[in-house]
Amino acid sequence: MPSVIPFVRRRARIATADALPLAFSWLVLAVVIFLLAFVLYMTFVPSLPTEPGFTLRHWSNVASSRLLTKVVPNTVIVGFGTICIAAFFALPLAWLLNRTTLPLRTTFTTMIGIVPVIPGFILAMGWIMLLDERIGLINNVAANLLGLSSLPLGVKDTPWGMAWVLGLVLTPPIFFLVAGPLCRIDPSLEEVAGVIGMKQLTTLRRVTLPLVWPGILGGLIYTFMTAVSIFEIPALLGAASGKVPVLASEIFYSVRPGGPLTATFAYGAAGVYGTLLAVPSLVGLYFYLRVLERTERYQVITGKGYRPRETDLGPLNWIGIGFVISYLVLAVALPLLVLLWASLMPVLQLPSREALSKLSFINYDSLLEGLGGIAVIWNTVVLVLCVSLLVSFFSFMVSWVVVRTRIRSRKLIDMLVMVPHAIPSLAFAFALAMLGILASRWLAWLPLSGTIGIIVIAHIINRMPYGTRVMNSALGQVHHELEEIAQVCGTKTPTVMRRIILPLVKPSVVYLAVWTAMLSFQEVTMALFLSGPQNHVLAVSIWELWESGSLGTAAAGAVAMVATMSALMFAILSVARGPTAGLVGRGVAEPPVAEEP
Amino acid sequence: MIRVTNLRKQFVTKHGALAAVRGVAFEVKEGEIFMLLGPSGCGKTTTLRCIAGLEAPDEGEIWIGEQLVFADRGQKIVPVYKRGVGMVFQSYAIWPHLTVFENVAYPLVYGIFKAPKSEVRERVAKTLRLVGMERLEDRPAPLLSGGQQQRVALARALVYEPKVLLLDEPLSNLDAKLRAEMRVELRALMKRLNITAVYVTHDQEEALVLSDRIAVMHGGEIKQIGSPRDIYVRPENDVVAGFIGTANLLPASISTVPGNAREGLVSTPIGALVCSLPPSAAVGQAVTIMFRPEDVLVSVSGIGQSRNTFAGIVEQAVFVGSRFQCVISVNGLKIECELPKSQVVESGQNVAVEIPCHAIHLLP
Ligand SMILES: Nc1ncnc2c1ncn2[C@@H]1O[C@H](COP(=O)(O)OP(=O)(O)OP(=O)(O)O)[C@@H](O)[C@H]1O
Ligand SMILES: [Mg+2]
Repeated sequence: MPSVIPFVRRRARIATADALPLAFSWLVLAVVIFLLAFVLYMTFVPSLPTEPGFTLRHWSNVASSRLLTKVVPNTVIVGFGTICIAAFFALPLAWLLNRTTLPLRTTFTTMIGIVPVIPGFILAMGWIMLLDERIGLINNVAANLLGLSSLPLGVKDTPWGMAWVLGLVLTPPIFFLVAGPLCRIDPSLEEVAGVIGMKQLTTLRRVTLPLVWPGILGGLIYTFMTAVSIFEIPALLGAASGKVPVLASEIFYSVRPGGPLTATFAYGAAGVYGTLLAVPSLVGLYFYLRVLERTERYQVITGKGYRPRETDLGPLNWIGIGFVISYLVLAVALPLLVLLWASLMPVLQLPSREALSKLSFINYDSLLEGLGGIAVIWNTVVLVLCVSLLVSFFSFMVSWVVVRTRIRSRKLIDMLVMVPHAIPSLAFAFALAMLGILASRWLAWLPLSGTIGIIVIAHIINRMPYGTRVMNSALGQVHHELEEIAQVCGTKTPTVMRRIILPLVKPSVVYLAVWTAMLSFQEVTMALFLSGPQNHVLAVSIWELWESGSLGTAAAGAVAMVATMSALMFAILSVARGPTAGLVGRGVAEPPVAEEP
Repeated sequence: MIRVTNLRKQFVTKHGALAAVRGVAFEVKEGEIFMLLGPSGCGKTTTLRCIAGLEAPDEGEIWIGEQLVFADRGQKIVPVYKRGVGMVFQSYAIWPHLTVFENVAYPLVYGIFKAPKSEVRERVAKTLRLVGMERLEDRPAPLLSGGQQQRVALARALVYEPKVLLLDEPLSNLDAKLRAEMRVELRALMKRLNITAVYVTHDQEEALVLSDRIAVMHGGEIKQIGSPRDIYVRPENDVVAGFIGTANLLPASISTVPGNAREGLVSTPIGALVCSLPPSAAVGQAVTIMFRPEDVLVSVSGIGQSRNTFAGIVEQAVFVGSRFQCVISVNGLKIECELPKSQVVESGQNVAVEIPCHAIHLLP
């Protein structure tokens, strides 16, 4: 008797077995590719694509004097300044917390890991309150003490102020990037130096530093890329008022006029700025990848299975601890405390007996109303939940294709999904905003512009590179035979995913979902860019409160936001025990960039 | 029950193409235990995975039962989950997030072997009893010992009563004693259930004990198929002879072919040997002669007049419990032999070595 079961063509077999994950992967990638192509396309269109025409005007305008004399220099200063500040803190921190016997090292490392969860714009608000020319508390104290009439320091309206805050915010990524290679240096290399008779400091300079240099360089390039594509911190510190324009703010105000800079839409110009921002980032990514290759070579040379030698600082321990604590104070405690103080004051003033008597919760009373009511809370919850669920889902699907199938395009998929990591989030937000406008003209039934959905899409694209890194390593650890035997047992791919693989990688999925939710909660660049009257989220509302001058209420909002995040984090950590808690703990201590190539 | 013809599989890696399986063909009858035996890397696992459908061959045809599951370079292919075979991996692949019961019940709860809910518990319990694991139903999988994992893996492969069982070195992770016990137990179980099995191993003892028929593989090809006794006693080539048991292999050439008698003379580096020759033998033909260590007779009383006897010196004698394993140097060539434990020899001793005529095999 011949065969009973009908044959399936080979192509069809791939289609049935892997169609699902493959389809979802290409859905994400198609959106990414389309949006990038769209940014480029916009630079050749006179205004909106609804009107016909082709122009090179936007590109020739790049040579405009304003851009070359103000915007680009400012952007470069901000980028390099950020690198200097971040490196100043991160390099000693990495050495202190990884290669010395400093007490409380793990606690400090975890604390540095939590810094990225605190919204950068909130820290910027704190620093403005500390160092503003007019209201800055530190400035006022200094002026009082020194008897100066004018105030000495300012973070506002100078690129160096932006660099200061950005540097504090971006110290953790460099810290974790350097920590990796620093832990992997073979102690014997250093011991040889010791035998030759070099002093400790010389050893550090001559042997340790050259070995971690690739990691340091990688971190610096990454920081530059990130720094120049952040909008909200420069905006608060002077770009919004037009005094210190940077590329990120140029894009923003070209598409969302109303600031003092531009009164009209300049979509094409925004596309050009986006491309200008993307190019250094891509160049940076290229060097970064090269650097990573080198780092791997070092790993191969040194191998594993040893503990790096740790220096005992002895009595100098206190200086080390002092340095770590001063970073944490500057980056977290001081700005948050001043915000807490400001939120309890009707008008910001120096702490004094008189001020204490004015303490009140009046800012909190009007907070919900000021933020925009329950709708904003609802939007935020929807955003955070959708993004964290969808990012976990799509990352799982993409990584499935990359790690667990032999589809020929899997390498390409793995590379493409990393692209949003190199392209500034503003470029994607810009493309999405444009699409939203077009959709509202052509496809009125498609709610895109001004909805929470468009922000969800932007956040998903932005978080996919990290999500797939986490899922790649999680899925890579599941032995392929565990999956194969399930197929032999008569179940198809979707069942195998649901019943076998997903439960096995659950800790990683939960960790990814939690971390994604945190970062989505605090993200403001894209949410602001895509905001309309109906889709404000918490971070955007706080930002706008600040911009409209309600400093007290904005401070109260910021305090509420940070409090919510801490509460959620503790709740999740205490509910999810076992491997998930461990993973979240480790993930918090080694946030995104530590794993992102 | 299983038929494989001209199976070919190439792996393309960064370092170029690697032909893992090169034209393998065999047939397994119903209820037979068929052994794929060969050194590491010879393509056994790849062949087995092709049968299961986990690997798509480049060429060949595979039949399971009445059904053609692979043909025409993959134009016709039945996906893994529809092939209805049972499989046990070397790593056992027990799902660590499930208990013993859940592991074994999985095929009955999801997929194409789904059974009515009411039957599941009973069938799982029956299968677990079969493999002697009935009291450990609720044990989480990570807490099982190696032997227990192996039993669970077997139970999971048997619970949906497949006609064909594929086993990839299922005993190689166990310690020697347990392995010896399990061999006998496994064979009895498969015979009781009348299962057709393809069993992969690189352990020749396992192959000899467990199988009905053995295919010796080497470098992606099958070198010989036959019963365990056939393979051991009448190896067809030096690869098979060298792999199964220990063998003394000597290059030789035929020097005398007698007219009617079947016994002729071959010249070897240790001297002329009398042995039986095939009808096709011709003078001057180069051959390899093979004889097993246990067939060699060693005496200390000096050379008698018997045939095929040579003087030698004991180079090494190792007592392994049941017998002595010796290396004896004859005319400068090392011959391996086994002596009963009652016959004590020491290294350096002069002995007479006889290679009985019936123990000598000619290999092409
Ligand atoms: N997925 C793969 N990609 C590339 N080469 C492979 C792959 N799987 C197996 N090979 C190669 O094919 C050859 C045969 O491998 P196979 O696993 O079939 O050997 P085996 O006989 O099972 O060996 P062992 O007894 O060690 O398990 C080996 O050289 C192996 O390196
Ligand atoms: Mg194998």
